[in-house]
Amino acid sequence: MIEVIAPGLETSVQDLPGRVGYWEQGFPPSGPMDRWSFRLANVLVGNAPEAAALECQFLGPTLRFDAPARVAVTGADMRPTLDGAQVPLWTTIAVSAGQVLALGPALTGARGYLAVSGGIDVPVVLGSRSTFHMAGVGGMEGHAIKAGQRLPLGPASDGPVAGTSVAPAARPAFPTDGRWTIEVVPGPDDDWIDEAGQARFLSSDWKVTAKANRTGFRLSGPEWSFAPRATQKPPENGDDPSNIIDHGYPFGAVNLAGATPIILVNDGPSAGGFINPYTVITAAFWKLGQSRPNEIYRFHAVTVEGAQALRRAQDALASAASLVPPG
Amino acid sequence: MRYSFGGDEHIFVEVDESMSLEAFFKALFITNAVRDRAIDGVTEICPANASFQIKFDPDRISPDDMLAELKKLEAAAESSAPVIETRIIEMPVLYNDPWTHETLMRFRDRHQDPKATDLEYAARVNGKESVEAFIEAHSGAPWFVSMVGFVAGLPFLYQMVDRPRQLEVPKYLRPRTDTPKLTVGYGGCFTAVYSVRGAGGYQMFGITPMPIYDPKSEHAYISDDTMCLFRPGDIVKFRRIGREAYDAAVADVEAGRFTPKIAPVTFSLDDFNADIDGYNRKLEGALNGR
Repeated sequence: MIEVIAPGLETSVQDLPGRVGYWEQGFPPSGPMDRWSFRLANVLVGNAPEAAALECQFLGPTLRFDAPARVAVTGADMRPTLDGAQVPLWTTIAVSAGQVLALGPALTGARGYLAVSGGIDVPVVLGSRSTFHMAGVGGMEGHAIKAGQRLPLGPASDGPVAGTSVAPAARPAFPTDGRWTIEVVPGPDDDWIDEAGQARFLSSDWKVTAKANRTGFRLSGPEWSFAPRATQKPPENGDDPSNIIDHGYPFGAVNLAGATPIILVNDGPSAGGFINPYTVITAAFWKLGQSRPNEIYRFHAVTVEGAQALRRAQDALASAASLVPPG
Repeated sequence: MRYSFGGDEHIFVEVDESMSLEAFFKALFITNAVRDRAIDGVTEICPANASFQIKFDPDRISPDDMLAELKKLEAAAESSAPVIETRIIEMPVLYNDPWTHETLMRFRDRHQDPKATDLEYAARVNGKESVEAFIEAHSGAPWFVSMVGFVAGLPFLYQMVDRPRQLEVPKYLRPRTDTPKLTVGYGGCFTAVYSVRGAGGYQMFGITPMPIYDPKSEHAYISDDTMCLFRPGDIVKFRRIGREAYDAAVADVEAGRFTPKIAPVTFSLDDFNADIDGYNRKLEGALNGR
């Protein structure tokens, strides 16, 4: 067991691939936003890359361990300490019974991942341990962890020895200038935007606003302009050019609500009445998860095949093959 | 039909640019076929109002193969009779209830017609002489669950009447930040029943005592497998109730003895189109054991 001394800003149990097969009922996949860092945290402690671990947003938790364990912290730099002494990121750390692991505010990136040997053994709800707080399912009683709770752990298997680390080239690289290139595939509703609007989307700076969370990332940027289809349509589509007959939303949709694009992410709505001119590819999701308000996105269009190649390359890096023995 | 990719893991298929029972039925038919075929690599099958979306695992099926499978099923759907096995569910509704009324009065500044209630506005823009007549139209003919989503367990419903009789009401000018749980709302040509309390842009007409989302497994009529009552293709008949019946139903829900009327039915689109009102009466008869 792990005792929660301080929960951090919003620390939740997540797993991979998340909640699959219930999208038709309105349950999103949930799961970690930065799967790359998440998987590496798990393999560092000897877990399956998909095992349940903690996602820590902006400010990490303080935890006391009842029993010895291996832990690893990856993703955002939250300056972890063990009984007050700094410990490295991207590294297998041995924790003794009674020790306290504390994560601070994120100095770079936005989401830190904390894996513990054995994984967080909360009940599986609709096929997943991932937290979806809006419906109160998964995780610790359906919500982010709270002070005083005790997190159950599963049985640990043998894993890398303390001091094992991830090769620097296999870690996601955060930009130092706050500018991110986010790959998108055009569609499903790109035909609602005119040519000038499409060119403007791909050539403009888009600022991440303060309204950026696990539901959606609201962006600010230039105006949109529309193809005739958006203004000449049957009335059941709605009055605004961005309205469409309520339809399913892809995970990662750049959803245009009026004049404001919102990227729909892990806990986002499954459906609604606004168009989705572009969709962020799976391999770029970690960048959303690690970006902070006021940072800048530039969108770069790729093909479906190009997106698959990027994802396969990233999956290969996010594996035990990237671990380096101590010393 | 228009096929497009949504990122690298979704195919979105628009069946029609306008809403119709035919478009919905085609989406339902093809998504049922995808489910029946158990195509390896398909992870989510989501029918919607006039479209559907499939999510797939590209490590198990390539995007091009996924697209080819769907196009094959489209051809099969066109050559088979539009018939589904489904069920009809009766949902009691207290129209013009005090809770949605209190909420709508708080958000008048976001409404097209701040001096009227949502029901008065809806009656007027649909050319009904009174709120009563509007409620009569809303509760008179049954509805298809054409999509479930937005949030967990929230059904969108499309009324089973011909196009001239479809009710059409714009959404709020700006969405509210609050909607009572189990509100019966309306936007465009769709009824929505809010499974949980939250933000919303649909007009508010009433409230049902009948839970439709059950995360704590408190209601025997909602499957533990999904926690949600509705699935696309269900048929719903709204039954207008008064305050006493509402309070009694709430007491039954709290005591764990509320049992909605649910009956299995076969729906044939061709038979429905041949005699809409007669066919609807036959469907409703199933609720009463006929």
